[in-house]
Amino acid sequence: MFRLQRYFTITSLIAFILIAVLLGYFFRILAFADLIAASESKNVVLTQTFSNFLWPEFASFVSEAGALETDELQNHPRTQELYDYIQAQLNGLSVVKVKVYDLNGLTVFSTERAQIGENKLDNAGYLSARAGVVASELTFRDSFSAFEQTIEDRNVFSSYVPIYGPDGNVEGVFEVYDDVTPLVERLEQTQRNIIIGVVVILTGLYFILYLIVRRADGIIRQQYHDLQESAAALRQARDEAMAASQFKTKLLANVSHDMRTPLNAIMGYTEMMAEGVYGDITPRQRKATTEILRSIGVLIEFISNLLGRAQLESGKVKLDIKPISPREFVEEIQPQVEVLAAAKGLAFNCEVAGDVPDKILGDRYWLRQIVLNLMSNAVKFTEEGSVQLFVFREDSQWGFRVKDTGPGIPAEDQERIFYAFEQASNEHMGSAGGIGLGLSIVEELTTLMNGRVTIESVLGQGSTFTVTLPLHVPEVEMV
Amino acid sequence: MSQFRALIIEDDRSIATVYTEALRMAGYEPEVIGNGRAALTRLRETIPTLILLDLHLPEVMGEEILASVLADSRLSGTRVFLITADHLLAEQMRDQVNLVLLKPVSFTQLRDMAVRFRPAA
Repeated sequence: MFRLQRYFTITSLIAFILIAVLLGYFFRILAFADLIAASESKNVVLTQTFSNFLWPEFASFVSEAGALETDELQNHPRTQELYDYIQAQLNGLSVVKVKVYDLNGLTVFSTERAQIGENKLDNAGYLSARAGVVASELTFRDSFSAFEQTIEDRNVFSSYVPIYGPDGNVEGVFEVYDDVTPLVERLEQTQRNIIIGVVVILTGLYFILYLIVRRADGIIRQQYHDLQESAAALRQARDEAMAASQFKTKLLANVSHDMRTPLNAIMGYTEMMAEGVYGDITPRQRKATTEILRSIGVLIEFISNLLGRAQLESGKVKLDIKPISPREFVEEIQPQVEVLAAAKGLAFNCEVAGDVPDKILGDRYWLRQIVLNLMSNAVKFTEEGSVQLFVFREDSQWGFRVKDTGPGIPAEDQERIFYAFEQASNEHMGSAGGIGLGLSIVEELTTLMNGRVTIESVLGQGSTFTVTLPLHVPEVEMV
Repeated sequence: MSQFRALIIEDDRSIATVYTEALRMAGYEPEVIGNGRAALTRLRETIPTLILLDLHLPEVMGEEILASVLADSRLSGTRVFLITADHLLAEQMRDQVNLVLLKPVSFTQLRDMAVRFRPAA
């Protein structure tokens, strides 16, 4: 199942870490850009201040310094003078070093005296400033020489700034080193605060969302659990229903089997009496035996239909398709129908059309059920006249037509009578008996055989039931 | 005494009487055996013209007797009618025997079929 709580925790943790890191990172980039811009403009202002004070007095010294040896330059009285001036100017400021270059890259002056005389012609920052563009750089120094002392672990911001003469030309370059460590520290402190703030907000957010998610997760789990339970209950109910259905089918099969044995004796002895095995019988006695046999026929049909119905309900009807002879088939059914028809004084005839093949593939037992049901219905509802069974062939189809001279079936009932436990409402049918299983079985069996049942009936003129089935003949017959 | 002997293997005495009468009327000389084991013994001694076999018997199942009959070359000329109340079983057995009758068996139908399957005298 879907583990909402776990996925939420993992996803939100990753998202929150990313948010905190990215926020801190972007803040740092923006803040340092601000710091650099601010520091640079401060250095430019400082330089301008220096040059305003110093340049009128020292411009000629700087321009002529190239002619001096490094030793001479370092110990020149003007150098000391410059140093004193600058130191006085920088008192109380964060500037830690100042250098002055001439236009040839020579370090004419540095507050770190040892650097005087060095050449900066290969320095990009110097060259940029000489061309009129300020160049700055923020660096971290483990140790740095500032005036008389060495300072450690400092963030130093240095700028090369051009010095312009009265005519607007670049006449020299100043380099100013500003100790921006406090600014950087404050900036980093702010960055830490922002990250902490973000983490605190996100953590709070996480816990609120966590509570919501945990509730949702609980609901999902509960629903999943309920679903499993109801599925199990459904399975159990289905199993029970199937067991009950199987029990019903088995019970009916057993009942049907056990009823057939005594029926066998009843039928046999009645027939023996009717056949005069026990001596001649009077016409009244014959009438009685005929009536008994008719009732046995009804009972047999009833038992067969009960079993057939149960087997259809439980889906147990499997067609056993074998070659059968339609003529023999009709011959087997004939005596049973004759007994029924004779008991009501009805004429009965049956005929198999000449073009019906000698062998047809079909399920003998269930075909018999279909025909017997239709025939016994025809006899049941017909009081005078005849019942007929006709086996026909039509191209790739064959089937049975059962015709009677009974009361007919009202049009509105012609569909309904195929449902189990339904009978036509025609008052002429009166006490025909039965529970209305026969036609529903006929209809279902016919459908199972890919066939169909149709009725033609006019009230007062009888009914014709036609079962049409696809015609399949055994392969041997086709040769 | 008829030259056509019939062996009726049926445990229900009352029904066996009906079969006996039907076969007698059809021109046979019937003998009733009430259980499967006795039937197997009797079949080793005699060659009936017709065997009427109820598939549902005590002790030995009808199928077993049928198998033994079909396997016995002495009985290759013997007609076999099976009687059962189980229509599925009836359809399975139909090809192996001369006739399958579904219970309840009609006296007249049995009589007429027995006549039809009787060899020419």
